[in-house]
Amino acid sequence: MSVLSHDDAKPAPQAPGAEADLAELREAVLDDWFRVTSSVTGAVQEIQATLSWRVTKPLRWARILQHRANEIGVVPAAQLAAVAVAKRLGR
Amino acid sequence: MRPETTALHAALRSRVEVVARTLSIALPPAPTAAEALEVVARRVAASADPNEIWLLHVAITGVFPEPDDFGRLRRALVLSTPATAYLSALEGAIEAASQVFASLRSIEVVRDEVLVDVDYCARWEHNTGIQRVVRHTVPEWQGREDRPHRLVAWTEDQTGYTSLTERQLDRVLHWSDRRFPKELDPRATNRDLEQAALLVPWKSTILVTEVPADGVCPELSALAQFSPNRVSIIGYDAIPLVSADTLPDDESERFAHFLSFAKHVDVIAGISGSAADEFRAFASMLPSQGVEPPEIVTVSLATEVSSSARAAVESVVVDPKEPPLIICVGSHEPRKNQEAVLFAAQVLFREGLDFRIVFVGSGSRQNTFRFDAKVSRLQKEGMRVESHRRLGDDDLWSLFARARFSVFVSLHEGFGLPVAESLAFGTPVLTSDFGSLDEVASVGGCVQVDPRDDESIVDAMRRLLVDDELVSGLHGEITEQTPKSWGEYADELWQSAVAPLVRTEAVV
Repeated sequence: MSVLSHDDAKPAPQAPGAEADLAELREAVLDDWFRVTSSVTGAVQEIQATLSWRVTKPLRWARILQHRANEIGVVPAAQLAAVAVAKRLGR
Repeated sequence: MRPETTALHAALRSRVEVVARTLSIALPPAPTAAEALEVVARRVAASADPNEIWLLHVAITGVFPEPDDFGRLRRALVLSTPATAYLSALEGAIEAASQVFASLRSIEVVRDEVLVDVDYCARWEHNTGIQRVVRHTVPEWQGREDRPHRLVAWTEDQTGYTSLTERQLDRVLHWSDRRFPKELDPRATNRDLEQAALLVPWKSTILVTEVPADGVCPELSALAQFSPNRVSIIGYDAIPLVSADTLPDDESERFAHFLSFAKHVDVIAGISGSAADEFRAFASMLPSQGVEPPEIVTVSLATEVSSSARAAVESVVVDPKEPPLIICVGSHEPRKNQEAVLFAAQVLFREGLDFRIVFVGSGSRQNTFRFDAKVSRLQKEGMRVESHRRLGDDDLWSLFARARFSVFVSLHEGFGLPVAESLAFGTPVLTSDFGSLDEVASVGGCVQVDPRDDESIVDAMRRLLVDDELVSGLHGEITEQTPKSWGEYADELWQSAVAPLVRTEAVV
């Protein structure tokens, strides 16, 4: 079987000690993965809280807001624009 | 393990277990999140099935993938070995998972059902063209055993489907008879978003009833391309592209993103023959990029007005001593051609004809400022002309009841509800002689002109003001009409855009 083959997707038999080591490694990897994803998401929050972000926010919103306000009124337009901007930053 | 880490593991395990059940993957008893993901990742990597990869992405991240997200995970899995599938799955999803607050989400797989996407109507207190169509149509399916479906909206961060709250259901299903006050939903916090309960369609049919927001088009595009769901949409018009010269540039840009999703759907139900033709033309371009085009069908909108509106109109007593009234109803924008109507009215006023003309419709200040200033000047000259930007339903119906005729000489429409409504109220219409307006006018009760020809509009308005026999004849044609009901439209839409895509015969 080729190393790159998925023909046998079941885990290969392991010695009991090795299996325990692998399980521990998997958990550690997942912990790290959560740590990384959470810290990046947290960083987005921090960016959103910076002065430069807040100062330039009105400029970024202006174009969308102007059009939406024409369409559906100022209050719903402001909320729609906020969602769109947050998403662009977040994703 | 810290409490928050425990919660993250538990949420991931729960989502992966849902996916394992959906894909009939046997998990070891009481697995940890890592053990469950290890087994599922190996199986999905082995199959390399796009449907399974799409679902695995939702399980790992708690969000619907965009096409790029899907591509990263797919390539990571394809390049993995059985021993590295677990790591590759985490690696392939880390970018998407890092950018949203979704790690504690739960998922419910919605299998072999019909989901009706009513996102905008559910979340916003706004009710013009598209929203009126949705709020008339969707309630027609409620309580029907042969129309089983779930209403869905997007999470506030636009990353996945979720159920509607009671208030949101109220906005969609009871617009004219509300259970809750008309107010906006409170903003979701990051914590709310992180703990949202997603509905994940699987081998289901999704009907997108609105033009979706920019932010969800990539997710919908990936869903239509890579998930085992079938998608249909209502095609309202292609005005932002075909008549881009009449709209702000960003409107056209947004519509182009919508088309990037629309090209991957199964069915587009045009609201008129004209709208269907526009989407058919778009579909004809798709083979050049190797995309199988959607099926385009025509399901013309309803032409009826509510019984309460009709009753209100019939109860109005018109004073024969009042000067004849002309109304021009529609949002105020260049495409609607109100300037030409005002010009025609000015010409007829200078000719000495006695009449009153009322323009009704909201619009941006940019579009309305000069027009309203001109109206004010003409009022000072003694012309009976008014422009109303916000008018309640009762007042509008009263105007229809009093009007000798209405004018709607738009340059481009997807359907032309103001014409249909005027006819349903029994009021003759002056309208355009091409496109969807020609379709709506074909039932009779209308005088048609080339809306780009000012003189034609002047002549037609003059005839409608002075020729009682003409107006009487138009009334006769209207009397013979039976407007198409919203129930009929809802039935046709289901049969054309939903039933053919549904897998279980019981729903058809």
